[in-house]
Parts: sequence; structure tokens; C-alpha cells
Amino acid sequence: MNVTSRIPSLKQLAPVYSVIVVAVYGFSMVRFFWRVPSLINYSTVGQVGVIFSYTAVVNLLESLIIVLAPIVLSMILPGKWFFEQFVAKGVLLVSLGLGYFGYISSHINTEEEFPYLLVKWSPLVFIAILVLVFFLSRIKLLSKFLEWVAEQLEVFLFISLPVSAIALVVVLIRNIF
Amino acid sequence: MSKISRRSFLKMVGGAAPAIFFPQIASLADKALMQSAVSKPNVIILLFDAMSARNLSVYGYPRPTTPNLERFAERANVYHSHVASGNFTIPATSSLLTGTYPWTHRAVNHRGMVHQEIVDKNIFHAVGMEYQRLAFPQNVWADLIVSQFAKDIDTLLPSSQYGSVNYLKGEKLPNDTNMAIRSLDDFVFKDHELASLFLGPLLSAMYFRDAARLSKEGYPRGVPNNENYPLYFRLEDLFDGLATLVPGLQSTFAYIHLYPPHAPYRAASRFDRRFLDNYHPEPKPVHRFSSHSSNSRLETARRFYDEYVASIDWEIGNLFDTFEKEGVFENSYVIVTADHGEMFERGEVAHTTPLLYAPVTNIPLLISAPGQKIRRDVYAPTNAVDLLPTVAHVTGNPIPEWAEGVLLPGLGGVEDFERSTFSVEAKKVSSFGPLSTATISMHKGMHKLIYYTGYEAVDSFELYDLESDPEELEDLYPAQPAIAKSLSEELLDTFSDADKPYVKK
Repeated sequence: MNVTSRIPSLKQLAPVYSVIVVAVYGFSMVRFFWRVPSLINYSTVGQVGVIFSYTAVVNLLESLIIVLAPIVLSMILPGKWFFEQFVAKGVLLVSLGLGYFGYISSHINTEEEFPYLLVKWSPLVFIAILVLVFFLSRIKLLSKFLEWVAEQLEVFLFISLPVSAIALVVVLIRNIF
Repeated sequence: MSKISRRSFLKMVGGAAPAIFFPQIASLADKALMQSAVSKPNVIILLFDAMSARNLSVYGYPRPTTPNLERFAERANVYHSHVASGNFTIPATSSLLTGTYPWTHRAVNHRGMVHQEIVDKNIFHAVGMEYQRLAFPQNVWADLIVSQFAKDIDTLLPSSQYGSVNYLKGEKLPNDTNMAIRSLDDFVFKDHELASLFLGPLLSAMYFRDAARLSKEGYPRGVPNNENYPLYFRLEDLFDGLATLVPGLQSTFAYIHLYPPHAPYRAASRFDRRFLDNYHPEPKPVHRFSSHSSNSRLETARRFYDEYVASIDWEIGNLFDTFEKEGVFENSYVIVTADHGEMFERGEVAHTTPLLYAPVTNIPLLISAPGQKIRRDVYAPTNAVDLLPTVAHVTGNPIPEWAEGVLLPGLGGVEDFERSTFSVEAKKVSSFGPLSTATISMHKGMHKLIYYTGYEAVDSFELYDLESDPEELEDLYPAQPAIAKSLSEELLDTFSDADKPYVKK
């Protein structure tokens, strides 16, 4: 089995990507709507829309970078280790990984309190996550559950992708002209 | 064919050198070369963020914080009753640059914006296209205002120019800087409230790593930085940059909005602990709207601030020596001012407060006209909104009819002690509605009236006689009903007229 044959299909990618989208876009959107009441004190609806567009474009970029992680792992590892259970393992990998990023993010308050320790330990945390991911094949029930959840979340792609496409056009137009 | 003098030629060469190192100003140098034969006097505004006139020895402060500004004052008009139109960067800078009060331009909130119908009414537009128009808003909040006027500015230097560490994302998108900063730096990647789950923590980690690696040499309390954005800078780099930039300018209007002495107050080592002295200003009663900071905290903050101001003054001295050597004072109006002041009394530190006492509202204004050799002191009340009409006048342009200020005395105007001028604070309300929660101070003659509305069930006033009580300690409002009535009616009428378009019928 060569490397390219272990590139996941779109059908495999969609549920994993949808989990990423829900986490990444959800994190930003909660903060965005929390910010709207102060934004409208001094911004027009159009300006609020532009801020939303920049946010969505950053989210699109982030989600595409993150989805590369399971794809690359799938390609470089033996098929049995990752590719054959791409959806379940991919979902667990990105969920735990993004969860850790969220944990770090919640600890960034001031320069003095920057969570250097959390960042320093992150390679070990990610190795631990990988170990968990490899053991997932032994817990069939959890695998099924993760696949089921990911499938349910695919509906969000029908919202996030068109919205991101429009946002990307808005940002490009503003920066080209 | 017009001739170019030897002096002009040397200045042209001086202008070309910095252009090599700072590509942003290359076009400016080119245009300066072309325009040299018909050069007009430069107008250079050097604005220091949060510099209170009350803490400057040039205005009588007991600590020797500004010996170099005192030296500069000997060749300048010194305005002793100059007042900011707002109490933090957004409204105050907008007033200076639009010549209108905050209730007109409506940039009243943190990160607020000048309303669209005011955007074309700005100082760069008033100066006209015959001048090169350069802006360097080192404070990012000033950039949020200045970049709204980008189409009237020939060269807009980024806030990170002359900086040491820069993780500002928005300014990397030059065609949409204003909205990009608002979106990326003020929201998505805002350090303390990240809205980006993945790239946010990564970029923050890189920024904090680079900031930690920055050599603290020369700055015992840390290298100066922007309080709200990921930017660090050294005073010497900043002022060396200006010493290279300014002498090369010709027929230029330059608005240089410097971040220091805004908090955090980080004096250079030669001034650190300089004011561990016996100066202890008389404590004033804690105001009910203050943050109730302890007196020891106020005294420490004041000392750090004063030491930082002295550091900046030392750099100003070096800069002005360069100006002298390069002949800048001979062909330029050099204007030293601030956007707003800083407060260390009544339980309040800094300036984002509902309180509009003198330390926050009284700002320096010193103007040296081309070739001026003598000092002139002006005691009549003046306001930041007066700079726009004055700059328009000295650059040979008509005073725009929308300007709410008047010509400054000594530069086309006359001293008017009975004139009313205003400062407005209304950061908590929508800029699209009436200013229902606000503090407004009015200076008229020897009196200052402060009006608080929307904070409590009943609105309140304070009245001070600045001549007999410059420290604003004795509230005359209850004791002087006739004056109180006349002044409060004028203030309320003016406020009501300004707010009328925003009050729903």
C-alpha cells in the first residue's frame, strides 16, 4: 500500500472536518456574538459584517491547517494504525488536540501569566493523545460513537463552507481594491 | 527655471537617505525633491499620548520633568490653559484631527470611529494637496482614527515603525488596515480574549517568547510597550527614527502621534528612581466615581510616570538638537502637544475615567513658528479643536466652515478669556444615540463647570474657580447660584443642540 493510497477520501474527510469546523468556528462565533453588543455601539452593520468575514476567513484557514494533521498521519503511518479507522481516530485526535488548545487559550490572560508550562508540555500531551488514538481500535463502542457524532455534525459544513466562501470574497475584495 | 539653493540641496540629500532605509517614505522623499523649489513651511505636530500639562515642569510642576521642553519654550508660544476635547485617545485624537467636539464626530467609545459624514472633514484634507501629508500614529488607537482619513494622507507609517517586537496583524493588510486591525488585532487575536482556537495560542506563544527574549538593557522596569497591542519599542530607536525622518521633510504636514508617556510607565535607566524625593502632593478627597486607588498607589504611579516623562524629555532634547542642526526650526511650525492627560489623584490612576479634572484635561501646547526666537505665554483658554483651523490658516488654506475651534492666539487668533470650550467623556453609550451617560466639562473665563449625567438617578454639577482654586478642591456650585445657573444653562443648551440629531422624537 503506497502513501497516496492512504490519502482519505472526501467521504472519510467530511466527518472529521466537520468536527474541526464545529470546534474552531464555534469557539470564534461564541466570542463574536458576545462582542456584538459593544461593537454596535460604534460600528455599522456593514462593519460588523466585515469583522465577521475576517473571523470566518481565519477560521477557514485554521480548519484547513488542522485537517492536515489526520491526513498526514494517515499517509505516513501504516494503514492499520490510522487509515483503516480514519474517521474515529481522526475525530478523537482533533477533538483532544483542539481541547488542549482551548485549555491553553483559556489560560492566556496577561504577559506575566502566560501559560509557558502548558506550551512546554504540549509535545508530551500530543504524544499522549496519539497513544490514546492508537488504542481506540480496541474500544469499538467509542469508535462507533465518535463516528456517529461526526456524521451528525456534517450538517454544519453546509453552513460554514458557503459562509466562509462569501467571507473570503469580502476580504479579498477589500484587500485588492 | 527655478533655482535650488545649496541649503535646499543638502536637505534634499538628507531626505533621500532615510528613504533608502524606510521604503514607506521613499515616495515622500521623491516628491520633496520635486517640490523643493516651491517649498512651504512644514507643520510638524509631535503629539505625546497621555502627557498631562500638570506633570511638566515647563508648566510649573515641582519635579524637573521637562528641562528640554523648557528650553524649547524659549522659542515658542506656550499655551497655559490648553484643554483636550476628550479624555482618552479615540475622542481626543478625533477632535484634534477633525476640529470638532466628540458630540459631533461621535468617536466616543473605546475603539470607536469617526462617523462617516465627518470623515472628509479632517486636518489632512484641510491642509490640502499642495502639502505632503504624513502621519505616524504609533498608538494603534490613533491609527484606527488616522487610517479613516487615509485617502487624504500621502504617507501613512505603520504603528510598528521603529518598533522592536511587532505582532500586529492588521497593518500587514495595507489596503484595509483599519478594519483588519479591528477584526484581527482587536478581536480574533486579541491576547487576553483570543477568539481563535488554534492560531491564536500559537501566535500568542511566539509573541510572548519574543517579548521575553527582548533585551531589557537600559529599561529596569521593562522595555516600553503598547498596553493593548503586541508592540514593543525602545525610546532611543523611536526618536532616532524621527531624527532621521523629520529633517528630510519639505512642504510637509506631519502628524506624529507617539505612544509614550502612555502606560506602562517604563523609564530608561538614567531616569529610573530619579524622583525618589520628598515631593508628596496634598491628597485630594476620593471621588465617588473613581476606582478608589490608595494614596500610596497613586504616589508610586505618579513617580513612575514622572520618571518616564523625564526619559521622553531627554529624547526630545536630542531630537530638537538635531532639528536645530538641520535647520528644521527655520522652516517649520513645530507643535508639541498631547491628546489627553493622566491623573494621579482623588482615587484615580490614568485617564479612562468619568472624571474630567485638570490632570486629565489640561494638556501641553507649545508652538514654535518658523524662525521664532522668543517665548510668548498665552493664558486664554484654548482647546484641541483649535489646532485644525490654525493649521489650515498657517498653511494658507481657508478655515473650514465646519470647524468648531478658532484660530489660536499668536497664530492669527486673539486671546478671548470669555470663550467657552468643552471636554466630553461618553465611552459607555452608543455613538449612534444620545450621549445619555456622559461627563462634560466647560471652561469659561476663570470658571470650570463639570456636568455628570446618567451615572446616578440625579444629574450633578461641580463648579470651580480656576484662578483662586487651580487644584479644583472647592466646589462652588451650591455657593454661587447665579454663576452656576448661567454656566449650567449654557452647557446644557450647547449639549442639547449637539445631541439633538441623535435624540429620537
